[in-house]
Amino acid sequence: MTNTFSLIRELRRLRKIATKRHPMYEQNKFAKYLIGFSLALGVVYLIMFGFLFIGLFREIFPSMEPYHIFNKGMAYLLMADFLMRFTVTKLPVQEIKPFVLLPMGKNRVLRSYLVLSGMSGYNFIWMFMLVPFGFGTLFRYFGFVGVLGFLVGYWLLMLANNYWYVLCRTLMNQSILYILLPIAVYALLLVGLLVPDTNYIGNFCLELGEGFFQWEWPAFVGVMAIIWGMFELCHIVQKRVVYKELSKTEVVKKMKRVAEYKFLDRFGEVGEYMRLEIKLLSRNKVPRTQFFMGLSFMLLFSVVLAFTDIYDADFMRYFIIVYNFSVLGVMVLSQTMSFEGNYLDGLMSRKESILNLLRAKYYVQCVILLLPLIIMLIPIAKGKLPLLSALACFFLASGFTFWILMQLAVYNKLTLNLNTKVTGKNSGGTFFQSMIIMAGFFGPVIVIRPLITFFSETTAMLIILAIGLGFTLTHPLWLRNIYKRFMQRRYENMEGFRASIVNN
Amino acid sequence: MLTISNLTKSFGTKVAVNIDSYTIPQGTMLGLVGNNGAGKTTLFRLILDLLKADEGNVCIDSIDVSKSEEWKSRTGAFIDDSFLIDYLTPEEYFYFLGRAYGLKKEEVDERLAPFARFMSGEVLDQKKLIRDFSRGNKQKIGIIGAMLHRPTLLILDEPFNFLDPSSQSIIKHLLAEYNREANATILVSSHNLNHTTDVCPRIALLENGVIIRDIDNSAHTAEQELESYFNVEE
Repeated sequence: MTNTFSLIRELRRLRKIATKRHPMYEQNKFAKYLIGFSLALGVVYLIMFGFLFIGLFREIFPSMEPYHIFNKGMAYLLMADFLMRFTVTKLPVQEIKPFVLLPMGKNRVLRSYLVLSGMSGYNFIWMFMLVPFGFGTLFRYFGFVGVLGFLVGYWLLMLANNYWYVLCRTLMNQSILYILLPIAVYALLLVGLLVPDTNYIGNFCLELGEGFFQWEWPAFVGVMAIIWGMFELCHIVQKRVVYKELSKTEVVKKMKRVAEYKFLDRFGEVGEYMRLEIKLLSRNKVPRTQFFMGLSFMLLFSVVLAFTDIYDADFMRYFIIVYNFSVLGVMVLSQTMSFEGNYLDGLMSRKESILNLLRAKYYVQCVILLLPLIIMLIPIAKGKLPLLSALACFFLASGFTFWILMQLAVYNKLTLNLNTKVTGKNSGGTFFQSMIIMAGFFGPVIVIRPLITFFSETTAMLIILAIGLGFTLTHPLWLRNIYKRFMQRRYENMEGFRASIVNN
Repeated sequence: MLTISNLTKSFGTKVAVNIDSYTIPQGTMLGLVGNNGAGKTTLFRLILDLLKADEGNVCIDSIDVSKSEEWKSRTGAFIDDSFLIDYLTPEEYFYFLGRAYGLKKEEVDERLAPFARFMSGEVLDQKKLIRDFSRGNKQKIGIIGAMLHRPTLLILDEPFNFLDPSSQSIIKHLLAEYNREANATILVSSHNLNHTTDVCPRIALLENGVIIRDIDNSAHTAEQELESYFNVEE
């Protein structure tokens, strides 16, 4: 590999081979079809949104052109893109170990991996929305060249967002506290966007968008400078992390205090597995990060709901409540068995251990659900939310949502690394799981939406409560059913888990 | 007693295990030897119902392992790291296993005592997670975990791997003693012929998934036969 270009080409080839030869690639044909179908559906939705926004913006803001409105909301698109990346893109890894002793600069390998991340197909995904929107709004005024400028400009923004995401994820992989970085940035952005009259951010975005389709060089140079800055920042941070990991020959980490959670003793064998679940979530980097991310989202929405009037509209309010109760469960339960895949052989050689494990997971999540319920007492006390609604959504999550999510215990057969390092191999999650996560977020809302449309709020919530209670009270039955189905598929699943164990 | 009947397992065109009939009476200490890819680990996984057999079955005390879980309470095994829950400390892991087999903490502590020499002060009270231990100490934790509930069938895959010479010697004695005292059936696979012939009165030689020789080693005479098979003589 004489130059960087050929190195990038080689790394890209290796990644493609790794994907094709991944143990799960050939095994899960159903998942592949589902992924293809979901992708196609996603693309159709984006194209539809592209056309929809033209009409919608014209109707709501008749005095302005739709592209003005779109550009003004640019920051929202970047925020949505950033959040989406958590579900659809993998943790940034630098598989540098095989190259360390080869005659090529380590910096060159690190930079090449970063370039590869910029070349990811995901950075083009919004084009499905931007192309119809651009042609529908800009073409008649600015012609093809204008549309092209608009598309190139937004693609550059996505590229900048890509490196911003890589930077945040790399830092968050080191310490979950770095989650505060994107939260702070987006909180500031939101304040800038929502503060009436001034709206500096919105106006700046409007100007930037204008600069794109009019091919004004400061707009492009500015964004490219941000990309370059982010790229260099990612390089510096990743280099530091990679060297830290490579130079670590032995981990000698003594624990100051070993938590025993003695109160769980009274729950017998299930209590023992609850203890195991708590330790799984607290002692491993990947589940811990997921847990705290879910918890942060949960707390954020609870606080927004409790202290602001932003989400007072009925549908949005219920969306937030449902999301609030589901978010953590969705993030943790959708991975059921995937983390356990690391030691499944040991569990399987013990009688009914999987049934107890499933029970423990369910109970731990139900206990955690009390947290948003407690926070919601504030809007309940303020009269913004009926107690019945909070209880209905609580039981909808503990029953219906968890029932859906825990079905994945039967179908998950990909081991997820508990402590992925930046230098490790990318075990990642499956796209199939990502789709289930999305379904977990939006599924309950699909149940609620028609009910609050056709019935009074009280009737709708009583129906929801009945559904939720039904599923919650019958949990011993459906958990045993999941266990039985898992046991029927155990050989196939164990083979998958064993084949996908990644040792960093 | 462990009986294997008409057991076959293939991976693609490669036959991993093909055993017509094989019986291991209770209290036998059997060494399983063979080159890489001979099918030792696959056979162990089939015995433990961790793999689906293409044909045939394995019965532990007349229970078909694929049809019931009753045999699990009297079987102990350590094949590899996937048996360890590595984010627990060794103590937590042992207590967790103890609870799974209905043992109280005090009983677990009591049962750990005979392993004190084997652990050589490097396993307990270290305030370290299993993942932070050396390969050798992880191996020790796995072996002890498999023996903690005093199983009547104990399966260990390459138990001497990663252990220092002293620990290898100790585990040999511990296994022989356990076999004698508990009348337990012990299956041990190993590439180390010396250790296997030292400790196992019966040895099965596996080649391409087939048991090609069933050697009586009660008089410690198998080493020569095995050495000539593996062609390790100068």
